[in-house]
Amino acid sequence: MKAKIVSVLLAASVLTGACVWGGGAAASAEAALPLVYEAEGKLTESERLTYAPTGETSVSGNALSVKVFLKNTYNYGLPVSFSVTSGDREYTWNKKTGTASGIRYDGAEGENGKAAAALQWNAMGFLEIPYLFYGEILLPFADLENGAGAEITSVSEVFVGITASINSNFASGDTWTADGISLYLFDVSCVTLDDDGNPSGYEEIADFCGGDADDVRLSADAENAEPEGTMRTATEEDYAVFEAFNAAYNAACATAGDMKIIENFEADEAFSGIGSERVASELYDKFYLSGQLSDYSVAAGGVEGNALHYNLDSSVYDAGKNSYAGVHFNFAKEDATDWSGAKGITVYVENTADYLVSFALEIFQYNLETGLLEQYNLNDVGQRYKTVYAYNVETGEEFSYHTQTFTRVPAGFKGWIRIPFSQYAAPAWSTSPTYGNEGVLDFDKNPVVKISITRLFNANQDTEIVLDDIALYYSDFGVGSLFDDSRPSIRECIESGSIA
Amino acid sequence: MKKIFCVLLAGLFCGALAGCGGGGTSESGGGNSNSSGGGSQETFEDKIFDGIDAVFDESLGYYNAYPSAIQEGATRYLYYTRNTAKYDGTTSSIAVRVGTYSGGAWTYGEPKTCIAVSESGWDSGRVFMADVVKGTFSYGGESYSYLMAYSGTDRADGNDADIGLAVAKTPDGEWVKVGTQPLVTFNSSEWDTVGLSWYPGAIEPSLVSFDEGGKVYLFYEESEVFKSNYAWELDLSDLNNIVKGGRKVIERTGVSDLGTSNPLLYGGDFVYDPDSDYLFAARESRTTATANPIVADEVQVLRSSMDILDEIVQGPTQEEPRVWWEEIGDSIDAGATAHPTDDTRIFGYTRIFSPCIVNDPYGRLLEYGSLELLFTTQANEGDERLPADREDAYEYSQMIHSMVITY
Repeated sequence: MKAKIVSVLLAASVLTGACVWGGGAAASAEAALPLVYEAEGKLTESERLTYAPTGETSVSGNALSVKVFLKNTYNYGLPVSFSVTSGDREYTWNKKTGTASGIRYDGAEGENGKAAAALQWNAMGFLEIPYLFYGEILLPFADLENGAGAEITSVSEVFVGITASINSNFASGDTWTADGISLYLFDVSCVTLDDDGNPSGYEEIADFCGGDADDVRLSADAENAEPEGTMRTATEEDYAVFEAFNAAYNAACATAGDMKIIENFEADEAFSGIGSERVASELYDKFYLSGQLSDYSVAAGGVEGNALHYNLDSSVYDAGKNSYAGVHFNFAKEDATDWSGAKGITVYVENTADYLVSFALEIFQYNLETGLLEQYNLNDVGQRYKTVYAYNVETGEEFSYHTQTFTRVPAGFKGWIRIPFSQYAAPAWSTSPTYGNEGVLDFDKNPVVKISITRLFNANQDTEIVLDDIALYYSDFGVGSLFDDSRPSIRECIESGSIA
Repeated sequence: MKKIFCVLLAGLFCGALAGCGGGGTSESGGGNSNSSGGGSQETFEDKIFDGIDAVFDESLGYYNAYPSAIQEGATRYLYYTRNTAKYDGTTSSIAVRVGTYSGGAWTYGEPKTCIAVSESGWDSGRVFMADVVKGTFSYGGESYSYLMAYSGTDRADGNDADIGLAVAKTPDGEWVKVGTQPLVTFNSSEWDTVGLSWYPGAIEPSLVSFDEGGKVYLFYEESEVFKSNYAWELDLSDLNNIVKGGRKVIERTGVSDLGTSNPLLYGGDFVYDPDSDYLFAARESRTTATANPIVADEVQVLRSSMDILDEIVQGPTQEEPRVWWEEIGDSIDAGATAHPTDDTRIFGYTRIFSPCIVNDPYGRLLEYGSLELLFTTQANEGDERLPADREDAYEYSQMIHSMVITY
């Protein structure tokens, strides 16, 4: 079974939201535009969005439905809090384990365009909205107050809290920051969830589409602080961006030979008709940096079109910091998160230096049971040697070699490197109870949502590597086929293989 | 039951080393001869014997190291590294001695130089560590039946070595170097960001025929920051047009004494047994020396299914590997090399390294169930038995010995 965040079609949901986006460009011109909360930089304090309907709105359902679209530059998930005021009391959803139900829209019309989604509560009591999530978040009143529940018959305020930064229970050494957020707000309704969690009987509390930015009050949590984010009404360009991202998210990855290309550093076809500078900017904004200041660009090179050029500039090296630098990104396509059946990961690499350079291709599996983002790389307990496989496209040579923690790239190498998943392991620190990494790559159960490309300054300063076409491969292969052609060579896999 | 017993052969025909003068027309210092290449008489100096005899004797001042041997019928060809001028390490060469079997022992003839350092180019500094395989090879319009792979470097200290090829029509014939460039090139800067460090480079070539023709596995060790053994599939039928197949790093799975991050079969020599489909590897298995020479003090033999060359565990897995190395027979260490009868040599050798398995001309095992191991020993720096006026005498003290391992 494919591992997907969205995996089960909802059979009987009825959607009555006022502005249903998706379903083609024709809808755009007519669509009433939603509100957008934006934060471009790192928030120093958490912020709160408050919607207060005129007077107390009576409701008869048993859950709240909040319809949003999230495009966050940094984290895979944006941790948010939800609460409502009913009567004179504010009630909060603050579960610290388990999932909340959602409905993800994929842009198609009607029921076929909707699928069930599971959104994870993290240990801090925030709900993690996944990257590029578009749809409804369903919040049962029974889950209010950490499961104590509440009898909600009217709503006078709805709150959405945006966390400034959070050391969540994600299994990573990074501090997870909530920067670069665009949270589109469509509507809020009260719904009735049946025993299977399917919503019906939508009672509108707020319709932000076509509304005014002032409908939502933005405030900073800190006393006397001004909010750093902004609320505004979406523009037509926002709409184009949304549509493009949504279409791209739901499109299948390109394939080549036995490879499914999960990132090719090209503008997706969905963006081709837009061509605005903003769209280009939006696309490449998905890459973000951590550690030492490093430099990346998406420019011509690699296999074809664009490639990622990643450089470590010694002039900006900070000796007071760890030598590590990284560029990271979440997958813009849901298909790219499905790694079931794949044998390993492959990437096209160019090392133009006349000496060795190195990089790590780290992968992050979203554990749907624990809600942890589990990190895997070639740095496991004991730092054992790892074996990687290479095909030099210029010389035609195929070879395997040992590496450790970071994948070494021979001088002048230009070609493909394959890393079997058998070589990946959870870093020793991440399997401690503090982080809770289960240490098992299980692509049938869990999606992989993020990749980090990390390098060490002390070994790579002033060196640029060019990466292109990060892909999953699906074949058993041999290293060359001069003596044994029972298995295809790497070249044969790339040129004429297939994804079984 | 596992057994080790030494093949006492050198002592059979040359028991009293100091008295092994005369006989033969060897090159300088070779064999039992004390005559130099220039015709002047050299004094034969005893090497240091702490255990079993060497398979042949040569004066101190000449190192005899890194053996490899092929056996065709009742004839054996022992290739090894030696200096051709006494106490002059820059005169390194690959030599061959022809062995004949008689009276239950092998007797080796005089050394003949196969490969010497070139006047210029990649192997102009040192040549060392050779292996030979039989097959059909053409080069420059000529047909050859024997192929040699050897390490060489343009550095006098022997570092940054490459591996080149030579061919001959007979195993002790005239060897012709193939081209002016090595087959395996090593550039330390390619494996070191700073580019200032020196590493041994591409060393320990070992050849196994794939088809008794021109297809050959070249096993070798690449020793840089990482130290790995490789098996390179090559079609060397036409040495003017070498076809390079996959170059596979050899997994060390099952080798328990190397720690978690050292994959190297130091001093690895590989032999294939087609009947059992086992790949045998002789290796240096332990190094405890803290004083010169810093070399191994134990050698042993491993075997694995040939599948270890193609073992690619794909996909996420928690499973144990399907193919691994296992130790066979007993290791050869100081105790094993103690002389069985001479009370003055009961401690054996404390420096034991660079082992090889005597194999057939195609790099195959001679006989399943036992194998003969040749290996090198060396005196320790500062050994009082070495000449007091030569601090470097230990560098010219290596000897080659033989033992049989049964399993």
